[in-house]
Amino acid sequence: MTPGAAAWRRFRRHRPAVLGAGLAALVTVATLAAPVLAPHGPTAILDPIALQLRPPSPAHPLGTDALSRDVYSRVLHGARVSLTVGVAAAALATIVAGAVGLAAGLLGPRTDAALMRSVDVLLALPRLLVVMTAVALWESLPLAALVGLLGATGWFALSRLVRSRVRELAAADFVTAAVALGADRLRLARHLLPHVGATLVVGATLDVGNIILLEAGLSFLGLGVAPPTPTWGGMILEGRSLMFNAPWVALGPGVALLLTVLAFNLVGDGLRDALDPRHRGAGLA
Amino acid sequence: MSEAPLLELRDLRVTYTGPDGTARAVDGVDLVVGAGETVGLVGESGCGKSVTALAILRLVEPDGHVGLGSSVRLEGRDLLALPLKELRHVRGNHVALIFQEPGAALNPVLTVGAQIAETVREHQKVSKSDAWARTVEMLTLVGIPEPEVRARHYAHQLSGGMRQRVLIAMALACKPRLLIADEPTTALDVTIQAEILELLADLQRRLGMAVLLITHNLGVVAGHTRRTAVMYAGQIVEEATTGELFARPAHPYTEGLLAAVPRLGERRERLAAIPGQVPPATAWPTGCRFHPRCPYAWDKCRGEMPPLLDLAPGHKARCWLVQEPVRRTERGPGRTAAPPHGT
Repeated sequence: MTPGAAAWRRFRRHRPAVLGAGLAALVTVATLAAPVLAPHGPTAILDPIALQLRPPSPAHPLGTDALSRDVYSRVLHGARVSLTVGVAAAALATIVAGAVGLAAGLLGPRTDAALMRSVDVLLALPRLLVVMTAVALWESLPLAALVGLLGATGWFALSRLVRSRVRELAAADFVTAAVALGADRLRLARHLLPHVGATLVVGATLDVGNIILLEAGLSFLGLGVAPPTPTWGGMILEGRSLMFNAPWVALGPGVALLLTVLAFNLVGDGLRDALDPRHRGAGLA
Repeated sequence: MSEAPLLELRDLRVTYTGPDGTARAVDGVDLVVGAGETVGLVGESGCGKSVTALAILRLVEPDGHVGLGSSVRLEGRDLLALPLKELRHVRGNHVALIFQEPGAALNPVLTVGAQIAETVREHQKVSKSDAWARTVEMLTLVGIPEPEVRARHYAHQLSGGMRQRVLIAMALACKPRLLIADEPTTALDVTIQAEILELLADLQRRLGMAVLLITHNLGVVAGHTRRTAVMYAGQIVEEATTGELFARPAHPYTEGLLAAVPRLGERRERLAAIPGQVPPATAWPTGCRFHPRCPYAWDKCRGEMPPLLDLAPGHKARCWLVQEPVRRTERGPGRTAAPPHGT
């Protein structure tokens, strides 16, 4: 059995992870198929008088908001922003973390010290505040800029994990053996990449949930993707003042957010246990 | 003088600086390996054999430092002065190294074939399919059955002996002129040990390469090397043709090592052992470094380090007994050695 097959078997036995994977798959499908699945357009104002703030009903499973828009349709479309930003920014952060970690671990003590001390400084900055400050540079924030910002601020801790794993492996006999047979640093990086792959995949998955939360937080503060594009954070913001009269306006996107973040965290935990059996049950720093 | 020998170490010194002070792991080693020759390097753990091997390919950096006066000449070229790019060309291509733990020396997440093919492509401009063909050819050469299948396996799917064969195939893929084998059989079962040693001898004959065979086991050296150097405490203490060394060991350390080899048909209560152990490299004894464990040691040994003294053509020993052989007969160690001084 290949290591991959063994890991897959461990993952399948991990019930919360399978549940998480199912949920994540559901959210992904919903995102991709939102235009087909949603009964109404996300910004369609249906009937400002008759359908304003109606509670959930068969026609509108999650009710309608103050502008008579269908909350269910808006939640489905809102998933697009959350998921796009979450996955793209996590991917970006993971690539940077992998590159920085490998460089720090392989390019010698000076590069290592320079990179890791920089990471120490970057880790001391509060992520939300940095992103909020940077967001102020745009009048209307494009999605790509949001992805860039969240990705660029998300790789610090993971790069340290990768670096320490590389340092640990650099002392292994097979690395010395490869060097003894003439390997250069690029080939060493190729040798080591599969070993840090597990760390990267787990880090990336757990970061998706984090970034989705951050994006929602920014939207909630009115700093995310501009309305009328529906975002979960923005919808919760709209529902906040109506919490006692029409709780469904905030609850719909709120529960969607909760389940999505939970799904990615469960998958991340399951992957960590499956890919690195030594760390079973231990928490990620 | 004719042309330069294949490998020539001159005054090789390697130091490691740590919290306990400076460890002089290799301390002035001279060694010559001729083309096609097999030379044994013998000694206990901690006497500097492996560091010597690593230093030849400059693999001790950056933790260890090679002495300024040292030289490692491969066919006249000083490897210690070579730019890294050229050194990489030497590693694996002209000189290859195989290690003690065949399991640990293979990357667990790459197939063994991929690792061999990669080494081939590192040194030769060949296509992927040619490199793969060469891989299968090498696996066949080292006696692996079903080489096409095995090449697609991971290290953990192979037995210890198979792994060592794979490592040998990898090391020899570019037909190096010198193979440094650092305890190639220590981690293997006794029956497999013999097979691997036979394989190495056979490949050496076929490929015409030289072998530097590093081991703590004199039995391994006996049948397979022409010359043997014995190392103790970072220095070569005796060097001779292997036959001469076994017949007339001159250094008490060699004598002790030979006495410690178990022989068939000999009844002994206990195996003879050299009392004490190799001192730490941060604090070699003054004088002769073996004197605290030596049954013959006298005042001179404690005060003054002997140089390598010539006994016979090609036979050298770092021991004052060479000059005063009479002391050996006065106080023979015998099988029940007198308690050594200082331990």
